[in-house]
This record gives sequence, structure tokens and C-alpha cells, in this order.
Amino acid sequence: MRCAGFDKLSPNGDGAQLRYLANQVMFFASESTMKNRSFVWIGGGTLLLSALLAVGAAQIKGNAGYAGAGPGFLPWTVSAAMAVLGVCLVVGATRSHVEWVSAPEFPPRWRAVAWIGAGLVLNALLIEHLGFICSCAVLFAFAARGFRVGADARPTVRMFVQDLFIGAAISAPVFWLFTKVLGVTLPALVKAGGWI
Amino acid sequence: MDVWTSLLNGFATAGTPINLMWAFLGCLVGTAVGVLPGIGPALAVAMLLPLTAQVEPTASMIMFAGIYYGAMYGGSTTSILLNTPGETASMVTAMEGNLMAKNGRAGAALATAAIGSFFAGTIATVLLTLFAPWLAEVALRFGPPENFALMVLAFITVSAVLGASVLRGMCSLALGLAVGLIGIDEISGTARYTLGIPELVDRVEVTLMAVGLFAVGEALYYGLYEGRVVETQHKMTSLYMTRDDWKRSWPAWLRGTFLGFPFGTVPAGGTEIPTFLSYATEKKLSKHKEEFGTVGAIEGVAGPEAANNATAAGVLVPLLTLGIPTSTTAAVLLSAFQNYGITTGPQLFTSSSALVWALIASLYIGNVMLLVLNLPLVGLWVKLLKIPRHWLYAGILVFATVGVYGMRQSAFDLYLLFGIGLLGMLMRRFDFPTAPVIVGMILGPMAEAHFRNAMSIGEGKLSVFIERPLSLAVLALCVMVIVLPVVMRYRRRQGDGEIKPA
Repeated sequence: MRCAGFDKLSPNGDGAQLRYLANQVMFFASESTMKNRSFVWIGGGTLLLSALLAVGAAQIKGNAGYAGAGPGFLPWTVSAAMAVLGVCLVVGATRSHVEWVSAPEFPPRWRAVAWIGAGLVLNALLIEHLGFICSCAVLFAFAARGFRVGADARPTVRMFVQDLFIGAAISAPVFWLFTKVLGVTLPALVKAGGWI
Repeated sequence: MDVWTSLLNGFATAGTPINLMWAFLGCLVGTAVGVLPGIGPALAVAMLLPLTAQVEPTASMIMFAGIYYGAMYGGSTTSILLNTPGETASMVTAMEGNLMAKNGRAGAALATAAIGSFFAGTIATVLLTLFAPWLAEVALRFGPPENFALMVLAFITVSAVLGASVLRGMCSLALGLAVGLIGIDEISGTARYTLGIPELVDRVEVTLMAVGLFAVGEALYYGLYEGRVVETQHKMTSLYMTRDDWKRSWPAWLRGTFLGFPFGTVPAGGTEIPTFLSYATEKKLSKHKEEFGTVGAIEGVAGPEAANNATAAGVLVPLLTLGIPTSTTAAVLLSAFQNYGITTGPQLFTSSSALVWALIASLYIGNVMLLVLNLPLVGLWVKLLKIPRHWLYAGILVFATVGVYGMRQSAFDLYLLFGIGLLGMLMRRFDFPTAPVIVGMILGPMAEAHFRNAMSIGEGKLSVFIERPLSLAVLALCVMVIVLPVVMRYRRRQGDGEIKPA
């Protein structure tokens, strides 16, 4: 088949021939793998995780004893299961012609995730220095900005400042309820059981 | 002690003012959580797990049970009034409920949902009262092989039966099992996968994983994709149900209850199957078939909603008698028991009998409270839907911080929270179910312990699992659950492959 194709195409010259072949390859590639390309990556990730689990399992010391199954048994089992699942994902995703999961209605808005993520990381950074209330106010303002970005709203600086106050107004009663009434330990700005 | 004395004692414990207050608090939080989109009962209970360090077990379990039941009531409100159903459990209710609301019958739909929930919840609790102690007694005779087999069944049904794809469900389960491996091995005391990080030695907290996947993952997904989806809300109308509405509702409630409860009790968790079955039954039996899918049929709301609540009660049967969770919320409840150092399983009914019976009694009380909270006060709950989404989700993240930081007082966990949230976002995007992760990480170590104990009994031979009739039967059932759908699909394709391509 391939030879016949070459013969037929030869008058067009090498460039056109190569372009034609490239197009064919691209066409087949897009037909068979494009639809579930993400799942091929996920399958790869699963295989990687399986390998990491195996490395960890090899380091587990412990004797199976007469039970025949020691502390290393389940780690090896899970690692093997993940390897099988990873192969199934890669093979299945490459061979399937149907899209497994359809894309959401709207294209992703990573800027929203960046704002929310920034809020979460700042919260982790600040909570032990500024205390729960201030730190969560920052989280609230950043996250609210992110959700506004995600909802196509145009967040202004004024809204951000407003959100900081709303965040504090929500975090404060939550902080008092959980630390003073329910006895959960959360960090305060004023050390040792302060109110802020 | 017979069932009625125990139950009366339970009522005495649950009826003290302080415990009534906890039950009320739970119902309140539960309804709110059910109404609000973006949070469910599993997440709410997970966020409140730090309380287990301070509050006494009976009080907190009563509250958690209230949250669990309350969310079932509240969920229907959202699914009837909004065009985007809040939880998977109310997906089916949303189909007819939405149509009814669109045609100005939101009130009647809400009423039949609330009364149906009460009806089903109460009957199912009666069944739980009668059935659970008996099952616990039977289960006392189970050894490690039987327990292990039952847990495998739970794993398989949670990951393979629910959800769109067996493959993706299994991946989630494997991930959950892998997370469950981190920490000290219960039997030998060997450290596994701790990477030398002290925080990892005492396991990954369930709160961290659940809050990361459900709260942060959901919030990030909302920001990434769903913020631009336009939401419409239907108008509230009078809650009055006509004579005809009652006549059409009560048989549907009854059928829904008896469909839902058994599905909850067998480790085949999840409310999707029974609610959908109930919907299909009602559609088939209805004298008003033309209303289905057009103006909205009341039995299409009544049946699934009753099934939904009956399943929720049914799920407590394997949880309390076998220590096997078949839904995410049940798994989180199980970890609450573990936090108190209470051994779950059949011995729970004997060793912590006061706690269990107070819990069951509080379910009866909670059902009454919830009916009152949800029927006359539904207008108040509807107002919760008016909270702008950007503040709602930002607020959820603040509560997530309380749960995660409150559990271990470690800022390290807050970084992990973000990482797990990103993972949750991806899982949501590519439709990997999250329930198997939570069930896997909680049940994994328990199943492992049972497996190794069983192997000790069998002196290292796997045959111990097939030599005992019950464990053999359960394992055979597991194989059937996986193989049967594949065979059916294959046969269907063989049968009418040409006529109806996949």
C-alpha cells in the first residue's frame, strides 16, 4: 500500500510527497490520540507514581513471618495495581476514538486559579505570624478576587479592600467560636490565647 | 438487653438539653450545607473533625449524624430551585423538581420532598433499629477473612459500580490506598513512605484529604471553569399540597423508602442507583406519564427524594455493624470514631452501646427537627442561595483552614492542602471520582490488617479466603460485580450491534 502511494505521488516531487505523508501522519495522530491526550499523560503519571511506590516498597524492612504477608505486601500490591491501571489508561486512551470526558462549557481561566492559589499559599505563609483572623482575611480577599475573575467580573482595588474587611468580619467570629467555645487551637496574633 | 430498652436508654441520653442542642446544631449546619452549592455533608463533617479532640464522643456523633441527615433535606431545596443540582444525591430530584418549579409549583415540590424525606428517614431509621443489632450479632462471628472480603466488596462497589468508568474509579481507589499506606504500619510498626518528614509519620489526616479534594478542589474548579455559567433561580411558591398531590406522593414515598434502604445496607453505597431506580419505577407506574419531562410530575420528586433519605439511613447499617463505610460521609464518620479510639465493627454495639443507641435515637429526633426546620422555614434557607458565589467560595476556604489547621496545628498541612486541591481540580476535570480516594485511605489500612491476620490464621496460604463459605461467597460476589457489567455490555453489543452503535 505504501509503495503504491509513493509511486502515484512521485511526479509531485519530494517536498509535496513529504508534506502529504506528514499530513497523513498528523491526521491519524489527531484521529486516534488527540481526543484523549490528557489521559495518556495521566496514565504516564500513574506509571510514574507506581514506580515511586515500588522504590519506597523496596526500602520497607520487615519480615513477612509465617503469615506470608508483611508490611511490604500492600505497598507492592498497590504499586503493581497502579502499573496495570497506568498501562490501561495509556493504551485505552491511545486506542479509543471516543472522547472520554467532554470539555467544560467554557475555556479554562488560569488567572482565577492563580489568585486563589496565591491566597492559599499566603495563608500558609502568614497564619503563624499574623494569626488566624488577619491571615484568613488575606485568603478571603485574594480568593474572592480570583472567583470574580473566574466569573468575568471586573474586580477593582476598592472591592479588594472591601473583601479584606469582609474576610476579617467572617474570620473573627469563626475564630472566637472555635477557639473560645469549642476549644480548637488556632493561632492568634497576640500570643497565648489572644482575641485577635 | 432487648432493642426497646436500649432504644429508650438512647432516647434518655439523646434527650438531655445539651445533646438536643448538639442535634439541633447538626441539623442546622446540615441543612445549610445541603442548601449551599459547593459543600456537602462529607466535607462539613471533615471540617469539624478537629472537634473530636475536645467534645465528648456522644455529643459530636449526634451532631455529625444531624449534619448527615440535614444535608439530605437541604440538598433537595437547591436541586428544585436552581438549575444546577447541588449534590449527586439530588440529581434525580432535580429532573422533575426543576420542571415543577419552572411551572410555578416549586412549593409543592419542596413540600413533597421535605415530607417524603421525613417519612423515608423515619421508616428507614426504624428498619435500622430493628436490623442493625441483629446484623451486629451475626457479624460478631466473622473472622478476619470475612471482614477482609467484605471490605474488598466495599472497595469494588465504591470504585467500580459508581461513577462513569471502572478504570477511573479503580485509579482513584489505588490513589486512596497509596495515601493510606503513608505512616506507621499498624501490625509491625514499620514506617512506610514517610520520606523522613515527621508530619507524615502519623498518617495523612482524613480532614486534610477530604477538605483538599472537596473544598479546595471544588473551589479551584469553580474558579477555572464554572464562574461563567449562568444560574437561574426559580420563584418560591406556596408549600400547599393538594389532595391529589398527597394521593400521588405517598405511594411514591413508600416505594422510594423500600427501594432505598436495602441499597444503603449492602456495601453497594451511593444514592445514584436507588434514586434513579425509584424515578424509573414512578415513571412506569404513574397515571400521569405525560407530566414527566414536561410540566414535572410530583411522584418523580417524591420517590427519588424518599429513596435518597432511606439510602442515607441504610448506609449507617454497615457502618455501625461491620465498620464498613459505603459512602464518603460514612467514611469520614468512621474516622471520627477512630479519632476517639473507638473500635468500629460488630463489637461497637456491645462495647459502645450507650453511644450507638444515643446516636440512633438522635436520628429520630433529628428527623422531626429537620421537618420543622425545612418545611415552614424553607424561605429562610432559600435566602442562602442569594449569597454571591465569590464570597461563598472564599468563605468555604476560610472554613477549610479552620478544619485543616485545627486538626494538627501545622502550616505544612496548609501547603499540602493547596497541592491536594489542585489534584482535586484535575480529578474533577477528568471525571475521576473522589469518593474512592477517601474510602480507600480510611479503609485501606483496616483491610490490610484483616488480610494479614487472615493470612496468619491460614498460615501463609491464600486458600484461607476460599475455604470459608462466607468469605468465598463475598469474594465471588466481588468478581460478579466487576465481570457482569462487562459481559452484559459485550452481549448487548453482540445482540444489536448493527442496529444501535455504541
